Amino acid sequence: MTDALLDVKELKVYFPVGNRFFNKNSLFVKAVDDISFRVQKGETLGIVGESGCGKSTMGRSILRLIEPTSGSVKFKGREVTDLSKNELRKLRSDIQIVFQDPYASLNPQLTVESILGEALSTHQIGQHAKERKEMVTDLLVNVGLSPKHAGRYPHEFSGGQRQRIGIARAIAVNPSLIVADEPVSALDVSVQAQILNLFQHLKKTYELTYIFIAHDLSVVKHVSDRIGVMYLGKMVEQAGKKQLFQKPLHPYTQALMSAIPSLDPDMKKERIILKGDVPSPISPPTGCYFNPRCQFRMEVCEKVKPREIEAEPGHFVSCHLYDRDIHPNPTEK
Amino acid sequence: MMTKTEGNLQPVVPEELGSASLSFFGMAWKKLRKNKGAMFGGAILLFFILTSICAPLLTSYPVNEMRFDESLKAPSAEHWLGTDEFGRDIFTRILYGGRVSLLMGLVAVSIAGTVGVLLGVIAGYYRRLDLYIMQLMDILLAFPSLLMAIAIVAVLGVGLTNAMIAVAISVIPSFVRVVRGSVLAVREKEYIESARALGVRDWKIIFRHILPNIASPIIVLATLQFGVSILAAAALSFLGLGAQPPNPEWGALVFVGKSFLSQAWWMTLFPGLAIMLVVLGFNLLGDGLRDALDPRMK
Repeated sequence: MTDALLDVKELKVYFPVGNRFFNKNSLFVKAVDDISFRVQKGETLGIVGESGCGKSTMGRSILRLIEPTSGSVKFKGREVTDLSKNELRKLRSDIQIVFQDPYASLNPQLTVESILGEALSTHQIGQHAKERKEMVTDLLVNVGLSPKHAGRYPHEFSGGQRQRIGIARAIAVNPSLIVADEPVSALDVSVQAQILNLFQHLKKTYELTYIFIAHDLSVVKHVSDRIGVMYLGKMVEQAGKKQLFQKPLHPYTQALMSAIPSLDPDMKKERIILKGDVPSPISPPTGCYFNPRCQFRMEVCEKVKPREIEAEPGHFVSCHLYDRDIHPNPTEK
Repeated sequence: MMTKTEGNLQPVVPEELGSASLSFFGMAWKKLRKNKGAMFGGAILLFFILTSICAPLLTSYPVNEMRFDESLKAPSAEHWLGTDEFGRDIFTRILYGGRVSLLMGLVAVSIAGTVGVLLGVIAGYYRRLDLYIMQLMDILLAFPSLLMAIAIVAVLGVGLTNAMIAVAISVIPSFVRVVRGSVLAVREKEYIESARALGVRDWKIIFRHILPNIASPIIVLATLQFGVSILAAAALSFLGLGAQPPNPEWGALVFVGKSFLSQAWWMTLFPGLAIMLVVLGFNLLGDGLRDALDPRMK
C-alpha cells in the first residue's frame, strides 16, 4: 500500500468520569477505543454509527481539538500527536474541519468577510488587505454565495448558506484534508443535497480528501469511496462503498443496512431488529462490545475481543464469525 | 491557489437580502430607543453629567467660600435650593458634588470592571486557575459589600481615593462571577472550536471571539454597578470615611445636612434626591440595556 495521507493507529480517547479526587483513574468513558484506519489522498472515508458512538470525538482528536489519550496519528508521514503548540498551529492549515451546526459555528459578531479574513490572516495567506478581500470574494463564489454577502452577519443567512460559509472558511487555508463532522444533518433534506454536491464539487477543484462523518447511510453512500462503521468507540467494519453495501459482514452493519427503507414496495426485506440499547461506554460488555445485541452470538464473543480481520481484500471486519481460528468455516454463519 | 471554479456555480441565494446590514449592537440600539424607561433613565444621567460638567456656567456662587450672613437660608429665587450652615449655595454644591460622585462611580466601576473581566476570563478560559480565583471571590462575597468597604477603608485610611478603591474591590466579585459564567458558556461554542482548528492564538480568541460575545452582560452589569458604586461611595462619605469636608460629594452633603435636619431640611433632601435620581437613572438604563441586549427578547 502506498503512503497514506492519514494513518491512524490504535487511537484512544478516554474521558475520566466521576470524582477524580477520590477514586483516581477508576472510571472512563471510552469514547474512542482503539481505532486504526488509513485515508489515501483524494479519497473520501465515510464514518457512520449511531449517536454517541464516538464519531465526532474521533474526528476532533485527529485535529487534536480533543487530545487523544494514546495512539498515533500520522499525517503526511508526520506524527501529529507529538507536535508542539507552534508546529500544530502550522499544521492547522492542512487539516480543517466543518462542523455540524451552522448556527453555532459562526461568530455572530463578525461579518462574513472578517470570518473568512481571519482564516487567511492567521496563516499569512495573501499579502495585504486588498488581496485578501479578493480572495474572500473568490471563496464566496466558489461555495455558491455572492460577493455581495461579504459584509453581512451570520444571522442574515439561512442554515444552508451558513454551512456554505463554514465550508468556505475551511477551504480558505488550502487544506488537503477536511474532517466533515455531520455537515448536513442539521439541514433540510433539499438543502442537504445542495451541500453534498458542493462538497463533491470542491473536492475536485481543490483536490481535497475528506473524512465524512454522518449517521445517515444514504448520505454516506452518496459521498464516500470507503466507509467505516463505528459502534461504541470501535471501528467494527471498514470496506469500499460497494463491498459494504452489497455484502455487509458485521452483524451490526447488517442490521443497519436492513433499516434502510426501500423504494420498491413489493420488495420484502428482512428487517433485523436489534434488541436492547447501546451499552454504556463507561462499562462496555466484556469480549465483543456488540455481543449482547448480536443475533449470531457465540460463547467466545462474551470472553474474547475480536481481532480485525481482512475478510476480503480491502474489507476489514472485527468479528469472530470471520476469524478462521475460531470459526473454521466463515462462509456459513 | 485560489482557483475559480469551472462550470459556473450559480449563486443559489437571492442577492438582495433586506436593505442594510445591522450589527448586533446596531439592532440593540434600535430596541433600546423604543424602551421608554431606559430612555428616561438615560435622560436623567445625561442631565446630571452635563450639569456637573457645565457647573461653572450654571451658577455664579463659589463652591467653598463661606458667607455667614447667608447661612441656613431656605430655598428662594436667590438660592434655588437654599444654603448650608456656612452660607454656601446648595445648588452650586450639588452641581460640583456631582463631579465627585459621578467620578467616584466611574473610577470604581472601571477598576472593578477591568480587574473583574480579566480574572473572570482567566478563570473561565484557563480552567486550571478557576478554583483558586473563584474561592477568593467567594471569600470576598461572603462579606456584605458595605461592611467590606468599611473594613478596607479602615485598613487603607480615610479619604476619597481609598474610598474608591474600597468600593471597587467590593464590586469586583460580581464582575468575576458574571464574566466567568459567560466565558464558560461561550468557550464551548463551535465557533471557538473552529477558531482553534484554524490555529488562531489564545489572546486573539479571547479578544475577538469571546469578549465581543459576552459584552452584553458586562455592559448591563457595569451600568447597574455604576449606581451601586455611587451609592456605596456616598454611604462611605456619609459615614465620614470617604470625601472629607469641605468636599461637596453628595454623601458628604447629606452627612453634614443631617445635623441641621430640624432647621434646614433642604440641606439633606436635595443631595439625597440627586443620589436617588442618579441611581434610579442607572438602574432604568441597565434594565433597558438588559432587555435590548438579550437575544431572546426579540
